[in-house]
Amino acid sequence: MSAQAGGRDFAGAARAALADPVLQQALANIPAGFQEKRRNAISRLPEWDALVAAAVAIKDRTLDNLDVHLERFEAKVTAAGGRVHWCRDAGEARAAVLSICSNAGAKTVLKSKSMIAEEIALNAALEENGIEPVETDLGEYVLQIRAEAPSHIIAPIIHLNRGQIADSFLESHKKYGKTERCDSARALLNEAREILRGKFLSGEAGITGANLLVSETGSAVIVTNEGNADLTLTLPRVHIVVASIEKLVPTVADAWTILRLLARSATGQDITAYTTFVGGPRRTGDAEGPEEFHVVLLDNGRAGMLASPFRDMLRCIKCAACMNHCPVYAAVGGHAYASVYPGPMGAVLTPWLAGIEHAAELPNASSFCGRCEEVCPMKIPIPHLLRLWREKENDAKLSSRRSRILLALWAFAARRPWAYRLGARVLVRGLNRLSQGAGRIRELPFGAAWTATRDFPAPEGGTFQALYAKRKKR
Amino acid sequence: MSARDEILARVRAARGKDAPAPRPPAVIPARAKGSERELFARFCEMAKRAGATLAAVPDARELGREIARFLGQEGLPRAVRMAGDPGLDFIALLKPAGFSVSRGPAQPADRVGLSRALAGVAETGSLMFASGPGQAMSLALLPEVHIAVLARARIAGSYEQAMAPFRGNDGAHELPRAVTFLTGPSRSADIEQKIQFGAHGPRRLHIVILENAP
Repeated sequence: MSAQAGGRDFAGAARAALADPVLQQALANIPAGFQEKRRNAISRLPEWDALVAAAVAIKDRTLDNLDVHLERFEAKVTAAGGRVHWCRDAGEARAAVLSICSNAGAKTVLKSKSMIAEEIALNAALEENGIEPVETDLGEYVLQIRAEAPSHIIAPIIHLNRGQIADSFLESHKKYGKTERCDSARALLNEAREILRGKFLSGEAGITGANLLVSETGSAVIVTNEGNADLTLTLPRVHIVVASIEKLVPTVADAWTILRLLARSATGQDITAYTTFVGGPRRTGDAEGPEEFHVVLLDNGRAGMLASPFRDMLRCIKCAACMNHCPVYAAVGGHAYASVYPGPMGAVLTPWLAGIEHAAELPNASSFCGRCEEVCPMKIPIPHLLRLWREKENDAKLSSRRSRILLALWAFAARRPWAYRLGARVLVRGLNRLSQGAGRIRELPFGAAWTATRDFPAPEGGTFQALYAKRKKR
Repeated sequence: MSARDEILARVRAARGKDAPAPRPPAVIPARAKGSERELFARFCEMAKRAGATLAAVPDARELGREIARFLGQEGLPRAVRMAGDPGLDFIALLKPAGFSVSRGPAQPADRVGLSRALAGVAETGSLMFASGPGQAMSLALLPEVHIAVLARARIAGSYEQAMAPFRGNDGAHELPRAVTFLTGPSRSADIEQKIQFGAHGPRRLHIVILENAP
C-alpha cells in the first residue's frame, strides 16, 4: 500500500470500523496496553521534562544544520566501507534497493519492520522483481501472510485477535507441514519462531529501518524487542538500511537523550530489549557480520517540509504516543486512515506525502482535544499543524461546499460586529423557537448528523453579547 | 543535478536563519548516578525487572559451578557455545564434569550461548556487547538461552559511561561495526498486547556477575 492512497473516504471507513465488533474489542486493549504503561514509566523518571526539552532542542538544532550532518554522516559511512544512496523519492529508493539486491544476487531478503519500507512500498517492488521479502517482526509477518497493511506504526497487528492470527497460520503454514491450530499466543509465537528461523539462515540480504542516524559515527540506531533487526543485520551477507533524512542526530550522546524518551513513550518500557548502533561492513578480524553495508537515504518531500510551516513535524521519532492517546484513533483504528501513517502524526504527514487533494479528510479526523501534543515527547504542535491543513483544504476548495459557505458567512460576520450581533440574535431566536421551551432540540435543520445521536442544547437567555452587556451594567 | 546535490541544495535552502541555538546541557537521570554499591544494586534490580535472572559469584571457579547449576535447573544439556574471546578462555579450561564447550559464532543447533558483556548499565539493567575479534552477537540472538558473564567492575551508571571507552582523544566516538545494548530476554507483545518472551532471540537471559574480575 502506498501513501498515495491517503485517507480517501475516511468517513465511510470510520463508520465501518465503528460497526466492526472484532476491531472494537482489539482497540479496547489500548488504554491498559499503552497509556497506563507510558504513564508508569514516566512517573519513575523525574527527569522526564528536562529530557523532553533537551531532545526538542537537539532535533531543532540538527534540522537547522541538516546539510552538515547529512554530509558528515555520509563521510563516516564511506570511511567505514559502506555506501550512502541518495534518493529523491520512493521510486529512486526502490530502484536503489533493487539494484543492491540484484548485484548481490539476493533471492531471499530478510526485513525488519520499517515504516520507510512501507512508505516506498518496497515489498511489492521486491516481489515484482522475483525477490522474496521475509518480514521477521512477528506482527509484520502476520500481516505479510494475510496480505494486509499495518494499522499502527509500532503495533502493526493491534487490529487482530488471537483467533484471526491462528486461522491465518493454519492456512499459511500447511506448506510447512503444520496441521494443528495454535490456541495460545505462546503457541503462535513458537510456530512463527520456528518457521522464521529457517528463513533467517537462508536470507542473502537484510533490510532494516533506522530509528536514528548518528552523524558523529555514521551509525544507524535500531531498536526492537524481538531481536529480529539484530539477526537481520548480523547473519545475511548484505545489510541495507532504509531511512529518511530527518532521522539524523549529531552525536551518540544526543541519540541517548532521544532513546531515553522513545521506548517510554511507545510501549512504556524504560528501553527496548535490543538497542543497536550499527555502521559499515564486517571489519578485519570480526567473527561475523555482513560484507556490504548500504544506507538508502530518502528525501520524499522532507527537504521541502523543512522550508514549510510543517517543519516541526520533522522532529517526529515515530513513537506512536499520539495515536495511543487519540480518541479518534481509539474509536476507528489505523486502517480507516488508509495511509501508511495513521493517527494524529499521520494526519499531518500524509497530506504532505500524498498531496492534500488526496488526503483532505485526514486533518478533520480529529476532535482537537490536544492530547497528541500533550503526550508528544518531541512537543510537536499537532493540532496547530492540522489547523494549517484545514486552512489549505478550505483555500483549495477541497472541503464541502456547505462548510465553505458557512465559514465564509462566519468570517464575514466575525469582522463586522453589527452583522455578528444580528446573526447571533436571529440564530438564538430561531433555536429557542425550535426547542419550544424544552431547553433542547431533538432535530436540527441542516444538522441532522449531530442530532441523530444526541440532542442539541438550546441557548438560554439571549446572545452572549447581550448577556455580557447586561451583567456589565449591574 | 544528482539526487545527492539536489537534496542537499534543498536542505541548504531551508537552513535556520538565526544563529544556532546553544547546545542543550546533557540530562543524565539521577538513577544513573551513585556509589559503586548503589549502582550494583540498581543494575540487579533493573535487570530483574526487565526479565533477566541473575547470580553473583566470587571468581572463575564458582562461575563454572553456577553455569552447571543453571543448565541443570533449566534441564539443558551441558553444551555451551561461546566466541573466541580470550577473556573467556578460563571457562574452557574449567571443564566441570561432563561440560562440552565449542567456540565461534552461534550455529542453528546451539541451545545455549555464552558471551562476556563489555559493560553493564545500572540505569536500566542493560548489558553492552560489541562486534570485534572474538565476539559474536549471534550467541545472544540464536540460541534459546543466553548466559552473559559480567565483571562487577564493569557496571557503569549510564549508557554514555558504558560507551566512554569508544571515545578517542578528541572526545568523538569511534565505534565497532555494531554495539548492542541488551535489556532482558527477547520478547513480543504483538499478539493482543501481552508480552511473551523468546520471540526470535533467547527466551531466557541469565546474567552471572563475577565479583572479583577486571
